Amino acid sequence: MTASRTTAAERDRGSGETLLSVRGLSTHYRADEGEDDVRAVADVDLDVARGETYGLVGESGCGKTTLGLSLIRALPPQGEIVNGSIEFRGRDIAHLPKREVKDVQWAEISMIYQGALNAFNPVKTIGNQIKEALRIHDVVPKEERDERVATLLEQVNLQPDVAEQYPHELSGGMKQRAAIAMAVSCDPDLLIADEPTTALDVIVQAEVLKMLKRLQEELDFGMIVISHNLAAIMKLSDRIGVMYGGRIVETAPSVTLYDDPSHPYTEKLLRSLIDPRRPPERVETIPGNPPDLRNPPSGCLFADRCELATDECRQTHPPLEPVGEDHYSACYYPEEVGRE
Amino acid sequence: MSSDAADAVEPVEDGETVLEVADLEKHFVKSAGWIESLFTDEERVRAVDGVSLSIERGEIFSVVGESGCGKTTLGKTLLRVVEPTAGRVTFDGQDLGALSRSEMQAMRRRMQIVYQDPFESLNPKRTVYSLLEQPLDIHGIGSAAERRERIEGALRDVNLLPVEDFLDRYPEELSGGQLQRVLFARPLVLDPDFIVADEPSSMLDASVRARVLDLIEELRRERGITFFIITHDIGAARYLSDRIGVMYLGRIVELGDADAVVDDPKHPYSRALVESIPSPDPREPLETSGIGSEVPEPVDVPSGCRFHPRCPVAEPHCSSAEPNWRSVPAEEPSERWVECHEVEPVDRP
Repeated sequence: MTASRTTAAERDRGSGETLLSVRGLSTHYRADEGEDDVRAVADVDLDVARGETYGLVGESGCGKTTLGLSLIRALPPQGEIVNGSIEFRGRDIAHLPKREVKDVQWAEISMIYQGALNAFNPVKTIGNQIKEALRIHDVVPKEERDERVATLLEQVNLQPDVAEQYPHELSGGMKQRAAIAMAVSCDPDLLIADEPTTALDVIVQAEVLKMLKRLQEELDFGMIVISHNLAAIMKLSDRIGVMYGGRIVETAPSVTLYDDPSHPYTEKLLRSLIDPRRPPERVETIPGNPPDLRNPPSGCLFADRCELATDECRQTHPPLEPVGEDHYSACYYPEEVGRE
Repeated sequence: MSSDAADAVEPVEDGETVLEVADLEKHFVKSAGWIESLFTDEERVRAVDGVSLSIERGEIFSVVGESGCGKTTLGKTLLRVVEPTAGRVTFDGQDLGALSRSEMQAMRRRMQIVYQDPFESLNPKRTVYSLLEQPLDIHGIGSAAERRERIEGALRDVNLLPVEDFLDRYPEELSGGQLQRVLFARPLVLDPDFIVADEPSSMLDASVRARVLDLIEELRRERGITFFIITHDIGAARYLSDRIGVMYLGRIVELGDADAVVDDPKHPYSRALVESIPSPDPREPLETSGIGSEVPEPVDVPSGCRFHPRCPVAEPHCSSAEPNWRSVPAEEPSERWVECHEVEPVDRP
């Protein structure tokens, strides 16, 4: 993976400093005695600058959520970072002790968890839950907390009286906005949003995505958006990382990825999209199933489902190598992609 | 499956109505605690609030709309899985409301429903064979040999091949796409004429989704099954369906040819729905519909046109007068119907 290990500065984009620089990150889930560990994330490199949005896409089980949880050090007990570094604002947080991790979470890196709609405490008002986050992380003096809550709600287009309401009184879209308000309450440098719109209806989805984007401009944080909704995420993101079998198999600016996919998996994913306004004659499907990450093959993880695969592909995993400006692909035949 | 016309079980007879729905309503009484019920009037949730439509044999018809619009309740009410509050459903000339429980039970052999979540609707302790045998048990169909034949036939039709590899598997051993196929194979053992499918593709990843959509098309072609699809996925609805009905707060507000409704939505709500779908091209900006995202509760349906509080083109009379369901001029294979004061009116004989 030599080619992709350029310094963060070289790949720096967006408005500002490099916030996050991940190198060779691998995360496993420990299995029970006698069973193989699940290699959920394997050898991931990733950089995010302040003001930049990095979109992480892939299908169920590809490791994108595990990668997000690794970055904020919120893995479940069986999950373990086994290799690599997570440099956040110059400090490696991959192996930070639990006690210190707490200082990073929320105030520096914050995450909108998947299913955030159900993550609120049902017996506390929205305002009190946001204030609690402010208190725990001690970012706003006590007497200013009410005002801060009001500002936050306004920033996510919620009426001030939402502060007095309980979660069950809010619609799905309102809850998601409240969850976003809570996630940015401590003014994080980096926001990780895991499927921020998946449970929402299409009209609400578009509004929440636009709101996230505006919030980012106002508060100037870096953002990692994790989603299987490729169409939405390509609009939101400056750069995209496509994950397959725990690895980033292609990364490029959104437009480049859309125009010139250089990994067969990316190409197939793009072809499986249905743009309702321009419906394709036939929608592509990807034959076969994703690899078993308890016992992944030694070669390219996509080889079994790939029309281009050769013996070489089945033997050794192709490294993520440059195929264009700021464009990397883990495929031995990037030029052949989309040629047939 | 081949598309050879000779393989088709029955040719689709053009224009023959198989399902007729007239003024269908399903209202639920909102359950309040008994103490609360002493102090408040009962609240009625108007989940389905006057739906009329007819579906042709061999048609794929989709109902689209946001969650809470009543589309799932509509699907269940069609089959009397929930009893309608008012209105009539006629299937193949038979008024379903006039059937006794046992007659309706027998009718369900021909009318089946496939629920949205394979992980929830398949018992994890049963093998695929046993899951597919269940409907045959319920309807008391077939000897052991016949059952096996039907089950294997159904698995073949949903492309779970080779069949022997799947018969003894448990749900947890199957992928999401395979589970979705098992869900479709289940009604097939009964050889139904009509299937209601609730969000058949929404739990699936994009790469698998298309396979399920193609499967529905194949089943229509090869078995002549009529489909009533409930979905919030407008892309899938267009790709798959002949016609689309757009549902809002318990009513169908627009209905027409699937391509035409998406290309040129007439009702302001349909327009907002279509505009909110992001196109994949990252150069095109993310559009918002501008109609506001808060859907009124079906207990508190707005007066006049129920869409008027969110409607960008609402006029004063929209909040007082209920719009009629009427056809509007359109150059398309089927008529276009809308329920809106503001869409260009048409003279009818």
